[in-house]
Amino acid sequence: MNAPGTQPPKPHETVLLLPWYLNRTLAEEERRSVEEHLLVCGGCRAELESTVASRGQLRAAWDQLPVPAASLRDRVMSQVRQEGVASAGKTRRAPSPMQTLSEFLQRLMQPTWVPTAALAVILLQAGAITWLVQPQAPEINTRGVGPVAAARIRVVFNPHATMGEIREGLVALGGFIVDGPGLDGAYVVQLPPESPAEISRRLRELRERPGLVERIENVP
Amino acid sequence: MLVDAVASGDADAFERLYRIYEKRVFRYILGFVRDSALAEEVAADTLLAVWHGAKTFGRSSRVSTWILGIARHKAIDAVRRAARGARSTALDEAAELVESTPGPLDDADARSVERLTHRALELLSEEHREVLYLAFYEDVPYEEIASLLDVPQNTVKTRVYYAKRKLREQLEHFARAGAIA
Repeated sequence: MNAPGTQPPKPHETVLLLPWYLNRTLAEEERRSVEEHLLVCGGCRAELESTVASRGQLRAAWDQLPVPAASLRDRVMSQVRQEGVASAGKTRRAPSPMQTLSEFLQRLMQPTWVPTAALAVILLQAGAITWLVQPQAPEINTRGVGPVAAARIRVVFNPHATMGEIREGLVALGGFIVDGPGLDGAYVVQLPPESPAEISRRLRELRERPGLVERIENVP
Repeated sequence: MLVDAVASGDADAFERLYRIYEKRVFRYILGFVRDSALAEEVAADTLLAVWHGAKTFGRSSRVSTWILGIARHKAIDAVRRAARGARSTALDEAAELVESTPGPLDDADARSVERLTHRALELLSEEHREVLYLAFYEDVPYEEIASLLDVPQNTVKTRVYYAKRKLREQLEHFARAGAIA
């Protein structure tokens, strides 16, 4: 871009910085260097004009993209407020050894939304062991009309779900892991002896937990 | 800082943050998943992850870059899950895309610059579309784009440059096709 009529082998550094010169996120020194270069280089000034045009065109096009439905906000906010109420209403109990282990594992997972796949697998297996040795899930809700025989399902958890998220989901379901993971990563979960309607409601809630479950199948 | 209030469990603060980011997060995700319904699901997951993970925000980047990072991670997961079950559908869609590439500008809508720009964007690679979106629409500094995409800073700069060039070439191609018509 320096000498008229010649093609540089690769773009000039100033040209490469123009998008960020325009969005005003360059460091002061870089900004000054771009401005000084623009004063003396017609090629880079032409490229700046072209970049301004592209930027305007792209922004106008992206402004036309759809927006999320208002109902989405209602749904997310309702979940957030429910969680707030639930955590405020929780009574503190002395943690069981299983809870202590689970909390310890959760702390290892920080930050919780970017665990490595390997760590997730190890923790899932550790989680499976804690559930296997736990005689009964303490939060199992035994209410319900017309209890039915306990059934089992296969659940494939999201590989990025944390042990804490999985445990929370299983506690809310009232179920516990009895086998797994299989070759496809699925765990077999024993469902609580509740009415079909109640089981169906809890499974729906489990599915709706963000980033927790990839797949749920019946065990034949 | 709003994110501090969110980290302390303030649902009203989260709602304010949600309103600031819902559109941006949804549109960024839409660039990956190409389906509004799925983009809404992934956006909801993303914003709930922000609510649950606000305490983990390390301040090494802007809040917006942190949120877009979560959105990107979840969108890529969603695309992978969808791809596992629908490889043949993707081929059909690719064929449709080729079919829908404008020849001589034969309908009035196709004259709209926005529409043509969208069509040109569709023909870019996903990685080119993404860097253009981050640099030109989200105004993310190149250092943060590099960290978001886990690539060297120079790669970000050259990728944006070549993406912009390809976009321009595509638009010129449409214009030539229109002129011939």
